[in-house]
Amino acid sequence: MNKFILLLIFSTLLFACKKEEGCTDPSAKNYNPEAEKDDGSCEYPEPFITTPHSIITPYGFPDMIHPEDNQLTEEGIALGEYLFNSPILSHSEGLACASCHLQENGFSSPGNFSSNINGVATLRNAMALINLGWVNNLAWDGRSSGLEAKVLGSITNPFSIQGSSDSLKARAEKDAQFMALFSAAFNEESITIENAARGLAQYIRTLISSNSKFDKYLNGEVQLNASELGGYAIFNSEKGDCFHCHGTQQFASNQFHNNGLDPEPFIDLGLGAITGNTADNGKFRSTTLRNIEHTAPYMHDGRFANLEEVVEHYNSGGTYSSTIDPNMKKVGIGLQLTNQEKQDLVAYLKTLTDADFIGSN
Amino acid sequence: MKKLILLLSVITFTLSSCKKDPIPTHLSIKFTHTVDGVPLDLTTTESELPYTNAAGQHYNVKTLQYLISNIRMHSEDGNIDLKGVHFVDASNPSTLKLELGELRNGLHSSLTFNLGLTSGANISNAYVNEDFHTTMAWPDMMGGGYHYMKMEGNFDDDTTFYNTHTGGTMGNDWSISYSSGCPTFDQFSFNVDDELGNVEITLNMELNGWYNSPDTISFTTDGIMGNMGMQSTLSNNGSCIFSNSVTYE
Repeated sequence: MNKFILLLIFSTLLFACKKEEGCTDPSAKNYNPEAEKDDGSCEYPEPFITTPHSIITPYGFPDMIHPEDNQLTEEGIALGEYLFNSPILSHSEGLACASCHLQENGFSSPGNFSSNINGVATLRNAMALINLGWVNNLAWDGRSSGLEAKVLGSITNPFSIQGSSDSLKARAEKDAQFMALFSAAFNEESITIENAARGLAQYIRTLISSNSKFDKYLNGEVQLNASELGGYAIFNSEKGDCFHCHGTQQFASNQFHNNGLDPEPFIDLGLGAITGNTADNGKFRSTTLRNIEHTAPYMHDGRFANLEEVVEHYNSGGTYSSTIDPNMKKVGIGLQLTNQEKQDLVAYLKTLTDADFIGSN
Repeated sequence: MKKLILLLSVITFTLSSCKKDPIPTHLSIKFTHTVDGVPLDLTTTESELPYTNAAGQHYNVKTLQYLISNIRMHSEDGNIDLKGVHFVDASNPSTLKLELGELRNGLHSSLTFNLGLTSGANISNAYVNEDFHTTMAWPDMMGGGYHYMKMEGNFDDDTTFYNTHTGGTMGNDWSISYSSGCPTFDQFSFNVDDELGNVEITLNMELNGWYNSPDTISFTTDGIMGNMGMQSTLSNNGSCIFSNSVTYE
């Protein structure tokens, strides 16, 4: 009997001393937090691999800056393109980004304003999505710093498509293509509206236009006619003085100017509503003129139906207000171009059309 | 004898522990702007025209932007290239102080620079990744490169604007070299040693100098970028618009 008790105590002590074995690596799929000794059984998830996508910087453009946490990948761009054209993001599944940003219109809207998911008109003209990878302060009033923030703001805006993570998750379960694209793009199980915005931002960065007739002229591939050359000279001299706000190969300053559209008090404060500085009232972003032939109507409220009306605005000198830009040198007098010169300027602007970009080739 | 050695050791240790660490000298340049000696105010409204040029025109200033290049310190043991190009925007405080790092010990006799870009550097898209690229670009049709300076505002009334834009019209080099020969530009010298401390050089641009001397220039609503005569005159007038001073901190 005494022997039996001794054996029992001995066995208990032996088992008490034995360490539990298992996988001790927290990054393993079968990590055992109770294990004290690693037994070599760890199993790891397949490494998440994406395919980097490189942008070829067009001549005369700066290097495109990508956020550290949203580098371009083929998978991210594919997801973004799918989301851009699918109504999966919108609250009622009624609208896609492409509903208002049409490729044949330079990814802008042909209407002055667009209708949101409730059929209510937006407050401003849908901007063209051209070369936005080189723009920092986005939207007409510069409200968004960075493309990811701008996209997220647009797709969650109650006055736009009012998307949310919840509505996206609910629909994603029924959309195998989306699930596959999302899984390939992001190493996260959770489907979020933020990741959707990252994918969209990647896609929008690939919407690059740099192959217009004018670019081909600079490369010696085509010749401009006399009227186009006349407009080129007006654009790039102080006669037209277009280049101060729409210069360089980008044809944009992407800065904010009051170009004499309205007298005070302004109905739309523009940049001033964002900064709170009255000196910014009435200022809006000077956007690219690439593909301008196809992005009518013009200005933040789409007030000008065609390029002739735009040129006439500058030709008449615009309307005085206290924040009007000094480059509008003769307010109320204007450029005083002849009819031929105005036609030439419009002809030149039309050479900025990139047929590949707008999908007409 | 032992006591003497101990005493000497204590004195030596005490002396060595009292020795000061050398103080590094950091160099910076501050950019200031005046009109007839009064600090520039960019916030005046169009109806306020507080300044007057030699032609008797009243004006204000809404924009003042320019490029400074080839910033170089001349020292007893050779020249130090401090910075290739610096963009000054009077409305942006971050551009008004240029930190140039630590200055080596020795005698430093003068600072030289160019207002604008010399023809070798004034090439379209040469600074495509710099913040000033789109702001200061000069059309190829007028010679290409970059504006040297943009000064803009109202004159006479609230609906007329002047655009004093200087640059290398049609490939000319009208950049302005600041080295010597200008009475407003002192040829200072200072010796950097272990105790001098930081050095700040202030460069002040007197804006009426563009329009007053030696030639009187009137404001116009017409463009001047394509006017080679006007660009030459402005380059000449601009040869002494900077003054300098040095402070030690």
